[in-house]
Amino acid sequence: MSLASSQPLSLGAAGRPPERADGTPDAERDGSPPSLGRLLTGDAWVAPEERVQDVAQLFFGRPELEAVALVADERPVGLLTRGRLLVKLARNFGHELYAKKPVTRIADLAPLVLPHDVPLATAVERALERDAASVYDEVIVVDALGRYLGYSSVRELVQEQGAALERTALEREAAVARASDLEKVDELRSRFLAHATHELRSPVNAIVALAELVRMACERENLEQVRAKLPMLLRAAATLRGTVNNILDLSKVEAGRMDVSIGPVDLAELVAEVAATARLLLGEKPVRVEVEAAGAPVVASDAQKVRQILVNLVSNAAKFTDRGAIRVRVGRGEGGGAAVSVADTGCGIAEADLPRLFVPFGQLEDAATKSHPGTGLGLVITRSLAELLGGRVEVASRRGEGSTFTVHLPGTPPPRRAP
Amino acid sequence: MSRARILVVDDDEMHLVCTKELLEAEGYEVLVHVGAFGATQQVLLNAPDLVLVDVNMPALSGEGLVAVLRGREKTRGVRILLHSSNDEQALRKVAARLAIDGWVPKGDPGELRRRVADVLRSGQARPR
Repeated sequence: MSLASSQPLSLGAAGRPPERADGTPDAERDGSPPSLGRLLTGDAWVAPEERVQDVAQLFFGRPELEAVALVADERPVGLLTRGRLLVKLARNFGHELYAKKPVTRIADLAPLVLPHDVPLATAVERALERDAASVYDEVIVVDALGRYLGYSSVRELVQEQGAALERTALEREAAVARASDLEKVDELRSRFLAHATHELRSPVNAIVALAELVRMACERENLEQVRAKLPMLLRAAATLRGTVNNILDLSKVEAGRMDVSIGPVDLAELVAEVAATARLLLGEKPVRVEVEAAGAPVVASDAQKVRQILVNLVSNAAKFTDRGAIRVRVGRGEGGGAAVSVADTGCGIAEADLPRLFVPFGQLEDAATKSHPGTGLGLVITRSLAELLGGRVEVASRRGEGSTFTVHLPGTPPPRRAP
Repeated sequence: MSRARILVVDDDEMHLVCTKELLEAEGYEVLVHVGAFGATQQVLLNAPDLVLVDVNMPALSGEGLVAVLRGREKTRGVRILLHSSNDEQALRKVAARLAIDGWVPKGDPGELRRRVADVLRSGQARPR
């Protein structure tokens, strides 16, 4: 039904929601600073000529009703609150005086009427600047054309304003927290980029410089110089390939695109092979490589990935150990699995630095003052690979006392994750 | 006229070997020093016309070394170029902040020759 109806207004219409008149913008339904039109607490209305006794019946029959507007030709002309009605009727002879009179005799005929799109703060301000007798009366709300939409209780408005302020404070807090998270991510990303740039450019630059020197040597037809430069050129190229492979591996694992091919993995055999690699890497350094593989189990896993994990661990051990020994041990692990540990007598890691071990390019030194070569990607990849195989990597270390990295592998691999 | 003398400071020996050869082929006298420690001493002893300083070095960074060189009376006037694999934008900022003679990205022998020649030429009137 519409207020535009030409039917005479009656009590029966009271409390029925009038259809929203034109001019209530959609934006009000989700616009963040709430406006008055969204905060109606009722829309009951009666015609101004209704008798007081009938309106009283309406109030007595509907205990939740706090007020009715007086509406003529769709326009609000007055407001009668439950409080005002009770005060009038409770007076001496009140009932006798007013019962049969039109409701206009006891209603407030100059109520506060505000357009629906008034901001909440303004509405509260206007409501509270009324005089003491009517300060808590409902505020009548009209559409853009001045047609009655409903009313809103002052209590509701004030509560809503409080909530809005609280929301704003919470939102600001959340926004600040989000911004600081983003800043951290951003800082990590730029650090990653700075390291990656340096690690990729160093070998590229060496290759360029060596190639230039080879070119110059060729021009002078100095074969001796060419011969001297070529092995260095190849070494720089190999370093570059290693770094590029590491970065690609890492992105593959992180994107969940690393394939796993499961088969029997003889850990005794694998460990012997990895120990040989360690001896090669150590070169002339006075470091022994010891293997304990008695009773090493065969597990179902991806041999190539297990090899990569162990090679990463022994390469680290070889890089950071100048004297003493590197011990590679294989034993049975929990639940039919295996545990492979690589222990060294190298420089060790301070306890405070352990959490940073598995951060990409987190090699514990600042890029500007780094003293060991390497990308700082090896351990990140090692851990990712171990997790891909259903296992994990543990580290125990103390500064100056060497490190032990242990890889736990399950006897059978976990079911593949859905891509 | 004597040959210009250049000191190259870097922790990467491969880089030192290459840069030395590249610049010697241009007719300069080239000295190299591994790492930032002791580099100040080299500057004092050999009075190079130009120091090429790497940025990323263990223990004392290139920036730190430049600060040390600029902080001492006898090394304050030496011409300095940063020579690094770092991002060029970052290098430009660091060079501006340190108020040195500029920077040369690693990995471009042609650019190295040009900038070294430019700095040695322009710097001849510089008070020492």
